[in-house]
Amino acid sequence: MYPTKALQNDQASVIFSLLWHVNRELRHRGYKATVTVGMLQRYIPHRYTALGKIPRRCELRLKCPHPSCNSRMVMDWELVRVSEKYQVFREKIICSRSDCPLNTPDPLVQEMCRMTREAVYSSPPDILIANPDILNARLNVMGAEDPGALTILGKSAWICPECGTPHGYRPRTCKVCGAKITNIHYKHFSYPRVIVVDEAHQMRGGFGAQVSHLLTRLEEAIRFIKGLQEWRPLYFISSATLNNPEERARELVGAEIESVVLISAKSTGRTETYRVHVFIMPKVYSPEATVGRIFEVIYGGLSSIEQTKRAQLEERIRRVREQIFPDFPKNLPTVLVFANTIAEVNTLLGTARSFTACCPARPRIDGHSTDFKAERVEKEDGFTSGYYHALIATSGLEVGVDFDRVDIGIIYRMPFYITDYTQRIGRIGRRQHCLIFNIFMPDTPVDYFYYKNWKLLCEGELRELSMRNETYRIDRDNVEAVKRSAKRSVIDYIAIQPDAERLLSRSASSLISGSSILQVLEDLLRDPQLLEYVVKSLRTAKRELAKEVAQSFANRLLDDLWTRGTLLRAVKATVSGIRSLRTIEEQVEYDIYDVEDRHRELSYAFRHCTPGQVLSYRGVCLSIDTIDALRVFEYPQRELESEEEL
Amino acid sequence: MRRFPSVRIVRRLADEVEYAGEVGLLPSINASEIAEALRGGRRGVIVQLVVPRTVKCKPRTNLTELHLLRCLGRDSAVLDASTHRDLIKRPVHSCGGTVVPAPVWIISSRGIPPNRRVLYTSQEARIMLSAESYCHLSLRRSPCRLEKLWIQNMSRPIANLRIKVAGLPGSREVSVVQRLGPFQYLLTLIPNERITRPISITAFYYDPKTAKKVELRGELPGVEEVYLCEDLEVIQATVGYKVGHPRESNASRITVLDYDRDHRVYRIPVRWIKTKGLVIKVDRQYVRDILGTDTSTLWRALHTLCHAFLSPLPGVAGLDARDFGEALSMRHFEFAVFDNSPGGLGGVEGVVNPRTGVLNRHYELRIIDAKNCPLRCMRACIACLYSESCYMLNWNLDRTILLKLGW
Repeated sequence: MYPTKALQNDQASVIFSLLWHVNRELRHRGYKATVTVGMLQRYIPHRYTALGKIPRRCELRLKCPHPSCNSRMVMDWELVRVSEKYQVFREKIICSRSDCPLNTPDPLVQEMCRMTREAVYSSPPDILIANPDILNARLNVMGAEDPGALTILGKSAWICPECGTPHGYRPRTCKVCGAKITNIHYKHFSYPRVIVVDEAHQMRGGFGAQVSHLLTRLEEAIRFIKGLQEWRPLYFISSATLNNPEERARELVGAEIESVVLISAKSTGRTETYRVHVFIMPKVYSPEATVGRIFEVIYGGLSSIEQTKRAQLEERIRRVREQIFPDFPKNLPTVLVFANTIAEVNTLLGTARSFTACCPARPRIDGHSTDFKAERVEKEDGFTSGYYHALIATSGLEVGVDFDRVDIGIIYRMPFYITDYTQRIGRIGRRQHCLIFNIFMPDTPVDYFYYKNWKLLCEGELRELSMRNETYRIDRDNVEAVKRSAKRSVIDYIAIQPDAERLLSRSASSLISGSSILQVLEDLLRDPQLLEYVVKSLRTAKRELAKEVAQSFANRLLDDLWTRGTLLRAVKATVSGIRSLRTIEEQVEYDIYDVEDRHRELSYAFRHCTPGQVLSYRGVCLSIDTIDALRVFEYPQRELESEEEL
Repeated sequence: MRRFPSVRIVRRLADEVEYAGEVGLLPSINASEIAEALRGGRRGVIVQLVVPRTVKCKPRTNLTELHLLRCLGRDSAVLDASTHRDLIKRPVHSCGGTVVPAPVWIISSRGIPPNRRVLYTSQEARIMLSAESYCHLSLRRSPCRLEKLWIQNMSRPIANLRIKVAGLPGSREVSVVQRLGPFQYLLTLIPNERITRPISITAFYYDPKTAKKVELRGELPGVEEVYLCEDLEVIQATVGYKVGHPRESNASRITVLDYDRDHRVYRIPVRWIKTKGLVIKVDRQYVRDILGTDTSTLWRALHTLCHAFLSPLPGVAGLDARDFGEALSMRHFEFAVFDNSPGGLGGVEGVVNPRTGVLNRHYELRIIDAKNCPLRCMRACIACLYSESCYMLNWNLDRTILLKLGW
């Protein structure tokens, strides 16, 4: 389990490559088993599309594992069936390079990869790469595939032989492709025994508390589905920057401290690399112009030096460059810049491009922030492959994404936490010596502090010490987290019932095993077993609070059942405030001149929406023109104008 | 549940806006007009507190001209983003050159007396000029189409900025300053978001009847009362913004307010939440007796006291610093630290025993210890009073104030 999708993508490639070699070796030694891997996140496609819509060939984040090739794997589609509503396809995972042996579907690759939702649900892989949000969505029946998709936790289901769609009850035909389903399609599955939580330091604060409950909710759901009593999975909690790791692990999984074993990282025998730090607090130049000048010098320009001294300095720089970058300008140095905000990325992008325009070696520079949405993947690939020489990124790139070829790093403004700084410099100079420019803002107290205490940044031991003082802990007993998780746990309890699909989707008055759905649900949701389930699934000291919230939520669902018609509609109407593990802040849409739209939280948007304000986007600037209001409170004649509220 | 802010919180907001006018953050006339309308005064001014849903952005509006882009390729072409929309998403010209924003001239307050440094959006006065408008004004020639825009030598980019106007021979240097009406405009090479800086004001309100008094075991001199408020209303409003050259300070910038002069309507974007928080009332007389009556010192004292409560909160509550917010009220001489999310995040509730109403002992000790810095800094630093969630970027903090108050 990875905290972000970017990390999932990044690490999937490594795992895929490793497994391909493992499986080949297994086959070579005569074993028939294949270790399978699958990916589950928001952008994983279905095997079916609406009629008339042809799915595009999609590039996967997996690199071709063949030793002679390093290209991307792609997913092609083959039409297998057309139903009344959908076209069903079957995926083929091949290498994108036409002359690669894996360019034709390789049986081993097809067998070991689960890269569509239906592939994952119909045959859960041995290793599932997921994130907390997608697992919460499956448990809380947020998608069309739910609750059948709980096959990933070991729940039995009827699997369509054509498209692989799971069904929680036995239908005559598949709800997607219309293929006939019989008893032989009823499948039993195993359950996850090991849960790996990578980059665990990201699971902190409110998000961390809710993820910790999610983990124990998962456990309890598995115990219920498989009838296990005292079983607990084996957890691996991993991070390079976790303060007090035993305690954090205990908090995260709700275990006893005695059951936590600390395994420290050992040297892998990698060559020792040096990071040379340069600290600059510009007082005459603006900080962004300083970065521009750094870029200029890196890529061969020296315009800021007075003409008379230029030749002498150029010669000195040339000599240094020859030693560090002997292939310059054939191979240009790679630069990774970290900024704190999207606006800073956009500003630096414009500045760096302007200042390098006159350099003889024309470097390709691009940005990496949420402005670039799905294109971020292309930027990361381009940077890894050497197409882009410099990437200017926000904190989204600071965790886990490994680039082996960064020569120079620029930290533009200090992050508040030294942990975040450590992550940033961790992306730089992983394989070779590197240079790090630390650019401080003269008018920011936090930057000023780090400028004065520069040793904290460049001395590993001091950094370690400092990180230990940065207290972040996970509070499983956080009142709000307990309340939200108790509600989620009630929905889990419904979703894992054998008849869940019918209970959720049929009208309250319809019959199931001779009783009305309403009656069955009343029995289920007023049963003391529900409260016991909730308490066990949260592992919190605030048991009474959890019980109280769960009972009142269950009662509300029953009350809503009449007005909403089905339990699924009642659930969807009540979960809006608890959908996200990360935030419940309202989102505001920014319409970028009909070209693109991006969403920002209201806490940002209320400060950046007055007409005339400047807004940067992918290196260019725009201005706020108009705003549409969600609500308007008018004074002195106070009125309420809102389509949604009224 | 009520779906609009209570009268009390709106009055509190009025107080804070009025105070912002008194200390020069906002023009005092506008501040008092807004405050009066918020209090229900009938002088014809209307204030609309707007919760945004969709924000439309354009390269060129009635106020701004950010539509020109310059190609860094060999042809140094000047392109118009209004007609080449694709350049916004992918800033690469057909010649293969990368495209960056063209220089703009930003409105400046030079020569304008402080009391006249205010603009309204309905005036449609331009707060920035494009290179095209600059040429039009400086050459007194219309139409004035730019053919090329480039920097001849990067050693001094501004001095070496050159333009080529269609129909005119040769290239031209540009002036850093341009006049239009009473205003002077200053050149900036690459526009960015720092041209406009929002002016945000936060107000909070709690009902004293429902607020629970929190017991302190020790003594915190200067702190009168601490309340746990489970229904704390917080309203954050962006009353306007300050516009100026990115390197200009706020004090020398021009204030822009979203005000319709014809209909006398102010539009103010807001974020209104109901959350859980601690409200701390400070003993005004005690603090004044010790620190004097200077407003800025008192503000610093309030801010420092606030950080004494705010900084240790994430560590004790187990949440992220960004999960908390702060709000100061000089009028009422009190402050609030709160869960910065609608409904709360369980942070503040985690530091008060709900049964006894006593502040978590560990938290209280950390508060008392705020006066001591492990790094023995002069005033404040990351090891003692700084907080990631500070709206004021951790300015004006001084732990020696706590020592003076007798902590």
